[in-house]
Amino acid sequence: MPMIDWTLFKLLLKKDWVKFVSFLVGIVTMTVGVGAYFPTLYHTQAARDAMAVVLQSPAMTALFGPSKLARPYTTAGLFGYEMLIWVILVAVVANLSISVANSRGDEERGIVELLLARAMSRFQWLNTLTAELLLFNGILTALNGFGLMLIGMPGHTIGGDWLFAGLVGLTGLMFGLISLVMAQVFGTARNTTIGAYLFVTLSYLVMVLATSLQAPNWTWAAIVAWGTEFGVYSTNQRGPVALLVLGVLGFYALAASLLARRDLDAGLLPDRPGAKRANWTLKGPLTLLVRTQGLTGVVWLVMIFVFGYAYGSAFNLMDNLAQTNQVVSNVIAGNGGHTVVMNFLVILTMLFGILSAVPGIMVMNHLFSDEKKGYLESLHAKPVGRLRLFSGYAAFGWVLSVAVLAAGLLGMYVGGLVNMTHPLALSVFGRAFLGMVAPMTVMVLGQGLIIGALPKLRNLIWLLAYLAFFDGYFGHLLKLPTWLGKLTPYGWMPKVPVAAVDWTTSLWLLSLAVILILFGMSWYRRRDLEIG
Amino acid sequence: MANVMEVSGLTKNFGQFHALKGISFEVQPGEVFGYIGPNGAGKSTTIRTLLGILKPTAGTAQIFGQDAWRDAVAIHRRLAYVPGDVYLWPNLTGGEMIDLLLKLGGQKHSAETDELIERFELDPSKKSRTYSKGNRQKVALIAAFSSQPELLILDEPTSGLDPLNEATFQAVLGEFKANGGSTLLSSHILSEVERLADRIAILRDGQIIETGTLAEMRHLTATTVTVKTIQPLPDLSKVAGVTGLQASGHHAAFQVSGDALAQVTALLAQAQPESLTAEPPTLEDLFLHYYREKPVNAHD
Repeated sequence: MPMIDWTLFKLLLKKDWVKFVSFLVGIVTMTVGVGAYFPTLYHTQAARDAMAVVLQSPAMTALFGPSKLARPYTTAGLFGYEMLIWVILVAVVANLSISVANSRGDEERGIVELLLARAMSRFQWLNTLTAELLLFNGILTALNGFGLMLIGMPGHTIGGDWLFAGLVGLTGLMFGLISLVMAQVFGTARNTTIGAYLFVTLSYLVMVLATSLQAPNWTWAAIVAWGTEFGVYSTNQRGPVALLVLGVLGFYALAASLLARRDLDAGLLPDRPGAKRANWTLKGPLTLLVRTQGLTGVVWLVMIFVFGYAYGSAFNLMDNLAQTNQVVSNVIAGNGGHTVVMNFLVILTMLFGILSAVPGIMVMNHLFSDEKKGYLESLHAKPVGRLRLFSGYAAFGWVLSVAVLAAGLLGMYVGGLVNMTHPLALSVFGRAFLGMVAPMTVMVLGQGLIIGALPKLRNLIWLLAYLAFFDGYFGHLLKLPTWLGKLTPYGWMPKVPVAAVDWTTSLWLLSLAVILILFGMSWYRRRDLEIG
Repeated sequence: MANVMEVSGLTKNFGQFHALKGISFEVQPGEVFGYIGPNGAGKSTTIRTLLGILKPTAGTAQIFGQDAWRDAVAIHRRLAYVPGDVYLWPNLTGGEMIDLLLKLGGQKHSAETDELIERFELDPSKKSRTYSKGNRQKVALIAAFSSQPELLILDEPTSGLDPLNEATFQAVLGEFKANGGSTLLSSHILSEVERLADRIAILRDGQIIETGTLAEMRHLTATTVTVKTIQPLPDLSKVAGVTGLQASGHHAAFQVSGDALAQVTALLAQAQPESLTAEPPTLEDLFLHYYREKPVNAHD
């Protein structure tokens, strides 16, 4: 029997090609596009040296992973350090998305049962999914490798180009396989996704904590950041690539051995019997959401709080550095006269503002996927109006997003409070919160309009979020045109918490959000519901 | 008394596809109305339009004298629905799902609910994702019956049930009917409809091609006769109204239409029947009759 079922392989590609192309385009433009920009940023050796000092400061290594920058600092060296972890993270997201949908997702839909009833073994099935991941990451590696060769940043070597591309591809592949492991453990696609993302987040957090607490040995426990240990374009250590290859093989073997010993349509985690009766907390659309989405919400709140705490605890080290090194504060501060921490805070506030919109958007998306999956059909036959249902989802999503934003900023405040000699005032984070609430609300409630009117376009919002993130993070660094940022609601807010909250902008953004959601509601009331 | 449900000229298009092409029927108080048709005929589309999930392209659908689309919430207070494919939130148990559905309708878990759980032999403590199709249907059926509605809308409610549970379903539906409840029963398990339904509508390609009681419909088609005689058989092939004749010596099997029955029995009597069976057409025969012999122009 062949190792791989080529008919299924072709079918998977036919189903996934749009996903393939959009992820490949996204990741390669991120790598090659930024790489092409980089030489214009640091003309002189002095600028590169200053940037290297900044990047090796504890706050930055907390973000980017352990620094292996080596003298003389080159553009390619800076690029390899600054960009690698972000490109890896996006590649990991792509692999998770492909992997979970084709494994536990198809199993949940009953497709795998059909496949395995044919002359296909479980391992052929697993191998075929693995082959698809191999192909995706292979293409990704090739495109990134040739792309980086083509732009040829000052200081690059062909070996470095391919090391960068290979690390991204290998780490992506490894996380694709990790989600295949998760798919054996968890019985539903939803829990598999939660499990896989939890693993990625924990792994990144280990890196953040290990670097900010200066415990370099622990960074090896951060699987997602293994790539950062190689000093791409600086020391270009290739030996440890073997470690990644071993990781890939190990997770494949783990997935295969778990698959060998489990029932189809069941995870390894047993199903415990639940309540025979609904208690008082389950009585309507809103409480139903709390039950079905509550766990995801709590995971978000805890994660973002810990994230905030990790960054907050790095503030102190950063503050000290800025006070002792004038060059550093100039580079990070750009043209303003603000302190390093405050500018770092601007970037983090933006990041948290965008991140906090994600759970709310996902709740809005659930309104459509619950409709599609038929969960809502029995509800629609009850005296529950569509307005009530829609408002329930919108309210839950928005409140969750607001809470996530608050939890992240609070985490940062507490992290600073515990670790800083002169902690930042709570009012600073209050300003950050007030500044981000309005654009975040536009994102969440705007998605309400999409779900109400044109649910087919629901994935466009991620493009917008990606753009906002890209502009917020790299906009200043890459000197991107300002109109690019204005395409997202985040681009209209002044740089809180350094700048004061612009109430006029907040007010019109919030009004816009209300108008969007009202249109969404009225469309949702009038359209046919889609089932199946 | 006014009709519970009144559907008139109901039309539903999905883009270029005409799912329902002007459907009209009514459900009278206290009756079980059988709604039959093959897969894709438009049964579920009709029901989803009746529930206000889909908006009619043309025509009207009224339940309790109110508009199915505009007054959906008010109507839904008085009816219960069991979908053909029951999908439940995977991480809620069956018991929680039943209670949630009851609460959404403003009702409570009652002694009757417990009784129904027992009669249908459902384990309410299991997570919904572990239920089979039949068990998911039981959850919806228990929630529907224990909400004590005036009208039940059932879309192939027993397609996943085992024979024991199907018998339970028929008994429970019988009690519901005896208490004056009305039912729209969509199904393609024809023996079930035959047993339960007072009147039937046959749907094909989005059009109703026949409505009436089973007796009325039977009249339109043939009785199946098998006979063994002592004397040689008379020649039945010349009789108008006899079809599908298979005769050999003293044995014969054939179909005979209602108006030729008197003539045929007279002829058979002369040949001294030794054994004779006459079966009325089953709903299945009717069904096949309408599908094979009355093609509907799909492009009108």
